[in-house]
Amino acid sequence: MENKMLSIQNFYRNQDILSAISQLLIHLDLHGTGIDDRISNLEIEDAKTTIHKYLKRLNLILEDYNKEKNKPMIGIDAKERSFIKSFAGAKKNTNRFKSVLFKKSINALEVLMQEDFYANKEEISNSLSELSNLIEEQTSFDIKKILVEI
Amino acid sequence: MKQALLQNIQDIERECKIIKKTLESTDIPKELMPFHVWIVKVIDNTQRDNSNNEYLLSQNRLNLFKELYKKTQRNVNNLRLLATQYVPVLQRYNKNDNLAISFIAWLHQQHTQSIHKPFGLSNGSFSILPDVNNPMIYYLPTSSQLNLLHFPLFFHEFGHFLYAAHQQEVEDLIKEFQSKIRDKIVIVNEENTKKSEKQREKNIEIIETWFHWMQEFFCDAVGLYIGGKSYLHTFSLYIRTSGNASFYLSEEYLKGSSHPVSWLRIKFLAHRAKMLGLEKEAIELENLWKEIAKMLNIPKEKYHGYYEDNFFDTINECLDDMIEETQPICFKDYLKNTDNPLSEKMNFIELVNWAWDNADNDEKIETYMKINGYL
Repeated sequence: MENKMLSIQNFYRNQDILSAISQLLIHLDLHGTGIDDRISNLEIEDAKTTIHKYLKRLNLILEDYNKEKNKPMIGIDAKERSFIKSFAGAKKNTNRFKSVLFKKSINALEVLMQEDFYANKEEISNSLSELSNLIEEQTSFDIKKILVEI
Repeated sequence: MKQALLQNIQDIERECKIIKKTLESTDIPKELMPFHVWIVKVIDNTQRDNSNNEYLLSQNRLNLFKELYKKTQRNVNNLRLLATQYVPVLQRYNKNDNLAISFIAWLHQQHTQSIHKPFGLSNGSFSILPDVNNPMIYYLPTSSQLNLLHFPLFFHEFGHFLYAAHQQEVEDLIKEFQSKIRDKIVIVNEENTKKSEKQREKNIEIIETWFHWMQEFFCDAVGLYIGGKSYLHTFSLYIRTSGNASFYLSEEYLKGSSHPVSWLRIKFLAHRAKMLGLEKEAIELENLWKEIAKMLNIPKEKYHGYYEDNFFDTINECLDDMIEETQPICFKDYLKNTDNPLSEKMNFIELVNWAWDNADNDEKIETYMKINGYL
């Protein structure tokens, strides 16, 4: 398939997870402030499920990658391979990525989200925000490939 | 920052209204209506989200500005993608699209995976945007629009959709295939020399490149399975004038490439064609490509380790499994054994195969198309 089509596919693939993260970040920020976030409980649960599925898949691929770095990444496309490398690189970049997700692990974030969602809101927000930044970096490259720069 | 974001939010609303107004004035056939409905739905959702962002912005919470910036950015990107890739499909429509639209609509009707799938047609090289959650866009050059002899390439493009519709299952098969190929590649000794390190890196490149190559081999297999000899003829006609690059690529170009070398694709097409009873056509195809290679002074196939003869069976086994998983229709079930195919309206598989049988008689093909309302 043409590279441009791969970029469009990847752009759409990332939209679900980015939207889910946005919803949770807005919800957590407004929680307890008395301001209506206009997000239903069902939408919150859907967003959590989307993030959980995404993290589960990411964890599986990362585990494979971390076992032996000098071996091919199989069963995934070039976009995902590139993201896995970015994620692994971000874990080493402790100046920029300081949240639980990058300093500890995906499992650590999952535990925080399952334990007490609102009590852990700061750590959860930081982790999701950094994850979103990393995904957005790749998405912006895709968009540049699809839409000509002015 | 608040003012800047508000300006972008207002601009998104403006763009949405313009797109909606543009769509009101388009005159499209019934086959493109689901595509139209999808675009309107996307714009409605964007407007709703945009209005929500305006409300959140009015709450004056500095903490939210970064997330609202990102949400606005995503709405802008979505709209630009819609305006540049999807809306033109409806804007550009004219009656010359009807043949290709009927062809694709028929193909979609034959497969349960695509029976209700919205699709559109746009300008470009033969390709597809094969999204499972969004409508598909098929691209074709203007010069191919009424050329039945090029239409079997749509069968290959449809293969990309079947791949996307069964993504998890076929990628599991490719993963298994990649690990078999890994075992076949010469094991480098464990000495920590520069040479062995370089070879290890190359092996990784080869195995990872095959992930994308298998999708293309699969789509060729689908093209052949659906189109029969018409696909062999079209693929060869369309690709063989690409010159040396169809026969040989240097290691630098093979690394991470999305498509295998065409000559290698011919090898696998010919093999599968023989399995499907198209022995004569397969031998002619192989001989013709050998002749062109000889003429271009390319004496033999060379793939720099990206393909070795001991990959052959493993590739074919994986392709068989992928075909089994995705269940494309087979040309054999659609070709009637009749001496006079013109006695009744042909299905599109018959039509493209008949067109190839009459490839030297454009007038005859044109007459048939006119009688049946395609022109």
